Amino acid sequence: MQEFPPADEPPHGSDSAPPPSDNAAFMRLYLQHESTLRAILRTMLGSWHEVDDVVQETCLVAMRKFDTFQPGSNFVAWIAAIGRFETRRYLRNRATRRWQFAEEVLELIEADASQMQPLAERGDALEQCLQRLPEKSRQLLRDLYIHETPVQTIAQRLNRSIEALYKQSQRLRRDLLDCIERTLHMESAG
Amino acid sequence: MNAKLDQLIADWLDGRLSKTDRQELEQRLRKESEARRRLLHWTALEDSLREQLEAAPVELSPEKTSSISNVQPTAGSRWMWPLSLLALAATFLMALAWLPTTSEIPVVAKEVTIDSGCAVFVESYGVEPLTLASKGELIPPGNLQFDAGMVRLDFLSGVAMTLAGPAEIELISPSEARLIRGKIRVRVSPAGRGFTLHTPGRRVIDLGTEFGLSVDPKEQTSFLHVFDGEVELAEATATSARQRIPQGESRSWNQSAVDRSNISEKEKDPSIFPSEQVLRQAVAQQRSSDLLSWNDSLQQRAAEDERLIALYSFRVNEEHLIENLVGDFGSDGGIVGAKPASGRFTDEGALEFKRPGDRVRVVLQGEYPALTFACWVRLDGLDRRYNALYLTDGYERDGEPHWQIFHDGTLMFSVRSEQEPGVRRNSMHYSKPFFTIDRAGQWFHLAASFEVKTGRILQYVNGERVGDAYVPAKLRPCSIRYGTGEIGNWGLPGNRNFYPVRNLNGRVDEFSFYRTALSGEEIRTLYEEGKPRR
Repeated sequence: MQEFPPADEPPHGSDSAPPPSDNAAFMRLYLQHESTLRAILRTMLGSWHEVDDVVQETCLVAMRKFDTFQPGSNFVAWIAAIGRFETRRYLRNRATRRWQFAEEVLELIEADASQMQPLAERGDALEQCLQRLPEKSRQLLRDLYIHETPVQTIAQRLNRSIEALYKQSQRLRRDLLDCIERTLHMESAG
Repeated sequence: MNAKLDQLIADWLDGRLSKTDRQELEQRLRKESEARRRLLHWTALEDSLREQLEAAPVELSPEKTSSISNVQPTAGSRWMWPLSLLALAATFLMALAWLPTTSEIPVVAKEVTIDSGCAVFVESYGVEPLTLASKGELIPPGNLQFDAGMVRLDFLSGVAMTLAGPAEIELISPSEARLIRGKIRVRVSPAGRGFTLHTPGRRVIDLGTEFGLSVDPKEQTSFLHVFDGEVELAEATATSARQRIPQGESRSWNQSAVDRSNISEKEKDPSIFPSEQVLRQAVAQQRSSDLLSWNDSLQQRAAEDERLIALYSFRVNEEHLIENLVGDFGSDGGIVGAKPASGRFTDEGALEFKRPGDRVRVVLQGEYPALTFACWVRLDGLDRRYNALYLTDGYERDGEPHWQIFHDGTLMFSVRSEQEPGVRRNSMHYSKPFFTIDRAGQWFHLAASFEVKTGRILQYVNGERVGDAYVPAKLRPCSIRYGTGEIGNWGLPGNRNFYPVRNLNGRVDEFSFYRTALSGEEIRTLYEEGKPRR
């Protein structure tokens, strides 16, 4: 069973901050697994903005609790447990509840994630794949994910149907996933 | 991999998963480990897209290629020379690429339908509500209504209209309007002849002149006085007979008839109509009193706010410098090219940035845990892909911030990080768009704050928050550093810099740098204290 921070403890507080050497060890592990943690949190939360909020808190709590981490054990499992706890706390303060995956499904996802290669490694492959994409496609992705332009607005601008745009963005992402798999496969073969 | 599963996952990420699909996706996630891995891959892809697209909007721009996963060697390495050659090539390619718009999504400037504007909001005095319109704003067709004060509109056809509140007018086109209530005075230039004003029961058609017109909606009566030239009065229907009203004469009418006799002496008095001169004087008085109170608040801030690193008021002194009003950490600003120009309040007090060489050079010393930038800027257009606000000279050391306006009208804050020696990273954050070309000529209060510890970036326009983002932990610098840098431009030509020109097209009349992240409320106060009254 993983270590949980007590519910009534404030998320901040510097008096129990670990010594600098621990901090460096924590940061090394954290940076390696941040992408995986973020993906896990996204399955529990409704948007990346919420993930950004919860990741902040999770990182702070984890840093404080780092002395409870057993070196050599599974870091993702350890920090994901803290993340799950922070997510519950975060959602409790929200007025509206949204649909989310059933608890046992989330646990299965979390367990799988802790056994996978760090998802950050896929980011490097993505970069090469993105460059092969036509600028038009990249612009669409940028509009969707950076400027967060509503699909309706883009559809109007391009004089295309909303459905067609969703389809296109899905196809683009699937192509990128395929490209990432190919790239990683080639790298591990070479 | 199964196409249906991919579609379910994408729909879930896009927030459009139907109820039955929810069940199906959940079933598969429960049963298949492969499905769970695929879900995590899709999710991580979206996260990486957000990071990488942000870090590298244009892969040709040298600054942007130094994205998170594209670690570039530090200066002095043997790759430096070929890189700069690449950068040179990139500059030319970019110039070619951006001449015709190759992008699928048009830039903001093209979306704005200038044609739909009727009149420019020139100035106002004592107007309520304050939110009526901004100076320089292009007013589209529709109703303009205010309870008190005076407003001057310039119709695009060449007609100057002064209105006194309470008034309501419907703008129909650049050469046509309907006066619903209130008093106006209209001066028509030769090109504006034929300007038509609708009133209850009659139309007033100008034949090159100056006239006053009032409408009382309760009595449904209108009153016209011709100061100069000639005016035609016609019934509401187009085919009806027209009547010419010469200089010095007055008419009043209601829905049914024009009555020449029934004009009281009081109504005949042309001085009941608002005058351009009175408005102009009132505005000038307001400006100079605004200037005084702004000067006070500026001096007070400079003296009392210890969080300031530098505060530039953009007044040019005898040594041709703009003075830093605070402390020892910021130099005075050296003016290159930029010309003195009228500011928010008076005929001077700002610098105008127009040509590619124009800039103000500053040196800021020290290392800081956070920053706030705040400035007053008048934008005359977004000519460049990147339009500089403040940029450090290089973009090489950990903690150097860059602040610009992207060509789509968003504020763009970026910061360099180098947590491990030799591993340089860059993160960029865009606000919501705030500028479109129809807002050219307006003064904006722009602000950005960044805190190293939390990585939070907040950006503001006129006191309103337009951007809120976090720099991921691995992209955060250790502290904020400036060194030499410049306001309104970036890069010294010939100095190993082959970056595209980034000069600002517009004016700046105040720029401050803080060592901490100011709260949203404090930024709101800066805006409220600094904005010109109407």
